[in-house]
Amino acid sequence: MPGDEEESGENAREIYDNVLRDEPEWRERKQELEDELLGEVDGSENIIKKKVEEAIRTGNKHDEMLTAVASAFNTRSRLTDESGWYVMGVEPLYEVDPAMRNPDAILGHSERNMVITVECKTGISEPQNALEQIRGAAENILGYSDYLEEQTGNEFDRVERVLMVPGNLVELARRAIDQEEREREPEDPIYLWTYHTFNEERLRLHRSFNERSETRSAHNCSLSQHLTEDGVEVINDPLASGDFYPESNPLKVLRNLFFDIPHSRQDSDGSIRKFTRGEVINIIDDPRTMTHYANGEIAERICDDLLSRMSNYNLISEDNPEEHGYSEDVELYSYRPVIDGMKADTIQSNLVSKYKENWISQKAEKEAVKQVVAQFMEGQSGLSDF
Amino acid sequence: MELFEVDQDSFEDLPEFNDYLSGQESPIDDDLHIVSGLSQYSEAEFLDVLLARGFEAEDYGDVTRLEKEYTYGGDDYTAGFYLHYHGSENGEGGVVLLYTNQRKTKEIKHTVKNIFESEHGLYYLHVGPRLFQIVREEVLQNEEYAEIVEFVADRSKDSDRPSRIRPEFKRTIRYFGDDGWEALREMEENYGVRPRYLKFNIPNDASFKIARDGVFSLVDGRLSTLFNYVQVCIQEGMAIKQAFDSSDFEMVNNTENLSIPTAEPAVIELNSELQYDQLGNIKSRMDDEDYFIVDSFGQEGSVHFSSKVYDKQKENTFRLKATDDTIRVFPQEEEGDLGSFLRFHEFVQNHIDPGAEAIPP
Repeated sequence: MPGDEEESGENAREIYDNVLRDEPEWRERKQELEDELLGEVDGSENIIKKKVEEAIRTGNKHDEMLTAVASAFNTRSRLTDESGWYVMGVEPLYEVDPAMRNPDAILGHSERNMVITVECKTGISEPQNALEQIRGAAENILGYSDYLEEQTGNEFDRVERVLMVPGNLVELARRAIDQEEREREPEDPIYLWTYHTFNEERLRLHRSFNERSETRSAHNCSLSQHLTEDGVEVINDPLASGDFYPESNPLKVLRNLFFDIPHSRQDSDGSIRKFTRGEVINIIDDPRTMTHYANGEIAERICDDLLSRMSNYNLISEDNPEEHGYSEDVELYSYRPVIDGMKADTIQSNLVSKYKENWISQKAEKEAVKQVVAQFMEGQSGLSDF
Repeated sequence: MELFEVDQDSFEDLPEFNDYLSGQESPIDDDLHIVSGLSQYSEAEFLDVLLARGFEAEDYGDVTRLEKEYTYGGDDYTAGFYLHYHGSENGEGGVVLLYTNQRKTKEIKHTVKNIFESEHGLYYLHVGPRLFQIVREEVLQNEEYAEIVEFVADRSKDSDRPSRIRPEFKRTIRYFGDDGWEALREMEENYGVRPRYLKFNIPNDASFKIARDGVFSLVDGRLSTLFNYVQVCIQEGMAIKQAFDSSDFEMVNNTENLSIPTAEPAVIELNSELQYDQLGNIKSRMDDEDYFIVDSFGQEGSVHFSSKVYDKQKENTFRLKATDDTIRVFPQEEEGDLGSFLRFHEFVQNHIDPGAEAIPP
């Protein structure tokens, strides 16, 4: 989980700082490792850039899957019209605690005391962990049922859990579920949906398992009849999509926000090279931008995270608001000179490019620190053998 | 050059106006140009757009006389047109026809052409490779002795159109000759060019030009002959408009607190399969043609590409979803922009697939 990664990073940093105090020559070793990781040494490859780009791709692919669910289950879709199931929430409970295990979507029905949690997975490198995550998320949903009833208007006391994977991962997912069935005999099954984009865009319920019957693999509701056989062709439903979700990758959030913000200033009196924190929050809070039932609460958090990173990367700086005609309580920012441009598209392109550069650079530095610590510790354990 | 004057106070309908222009008393000595476009506005709204752009209007029944004074390059001009507006059957928008004898490179370009290109909700009637082919076939079928006697055809740099000879070169070919049918075909096959305009000559009947930017010009002869082919083009244009009319955008409330933007697309069907490795090139051409890709996602396998796009010319945002055989265009505002859709449709035909076609519902 992101929290664990941050914690181990902080520990490594602490050890590294201690090491440097006594053996400053490790600083050079860190630089060597960093250069290697960034492909700046002969024969090396920029593996950090590859990792960052892969993370961006994975994030975007995940959002595509979530959008498919939102498109299949909104009040204009055929599936909602015929089955009565609709999306009640996307990334629910994010506003309570972003680190809490939560599903990607919850579906509700006006005549059922049940919700369906949907977890979209673009990859399953640790299948049993993935299933555990789904069960944990469903427990949290049940634990917050009163709160969610207030937010969504839907009362429920039961949950059905869905794992949704791209079509090419169906075998891996099936084996994981079969293993869980075999080893733990869970009372509540995890259902498997597959998302197909080869020559189509389709959602299907998978019912063929070794360790459980087709009946047990089908939902206890009319949804099964719509999702079995050919399933649902999502591409024929209205596209239901804002610009991003609360857990979208930060570059996607940046791309969209920091096109809209300078663009909206193009025709106004304000400088296109400045913006306020309030503007950022207002745009995130707009349901056309971000799909969530608690937009307002999440907007501030996402805004502050993003602005803090942008400041940290030296892409923006804070200005004195009163010098620019704003009241003193306004948080005003400018783009630093390294972010060139007087048009929305130029500013956005430059921001995205520099943000990514800094992200890669920072990640390489952190990885180099970890590797230095690992090498140092190895050296220490070698000595202790004596 | 001044706009031709008519000595009739009113015209009951377009055929009467066309007959008047074709008759013995015709006031036109030079080429007659008909500038055509598509509008998502009603006639009254379209006139408001023109009035806001400095035009003055005078009512002549089913035709409106328009005039605008302007300065360009230090010189003063007076642009003039006779407007006929033909409303769509579904009551949404329609076809705009602007008649003038003035110059394509001056009065037309500086006024109405500019309005069609930049105003929200409007665009000229683009005659793409597919429509040029349809018109050629119609002329061949209907006019036994018709010839193409002049044409201009071009090819852009990095074009994907098949070309036997030096495909890497950008080129423009201007041809004069009575063997235009064959020459055009040969140029298309060998040099990978597409028509910018064609000049037809139908002996003892009419001589006229049809241009890619929706300008129809009568050089000599019967206006009614030219008008047959204007109507062929309008029909195709209206089919594209119908595809746009079927698209929409709506905020839906799934719950009291959850509002989701939803959009129905206008669908463009491709004639040739889109490959994943074309996407890089397409994005680069979009950039050249004043589109900005705000965000995008592409996946191999069979093509799955989605994107949020900003049309800089029309100042309009839309979303795209492409598979190997279709491109879906999703509006992002309740009032979509027909002009932006038509411009993108032109882009698809020019830079992705000349056989692409917007499909009405």
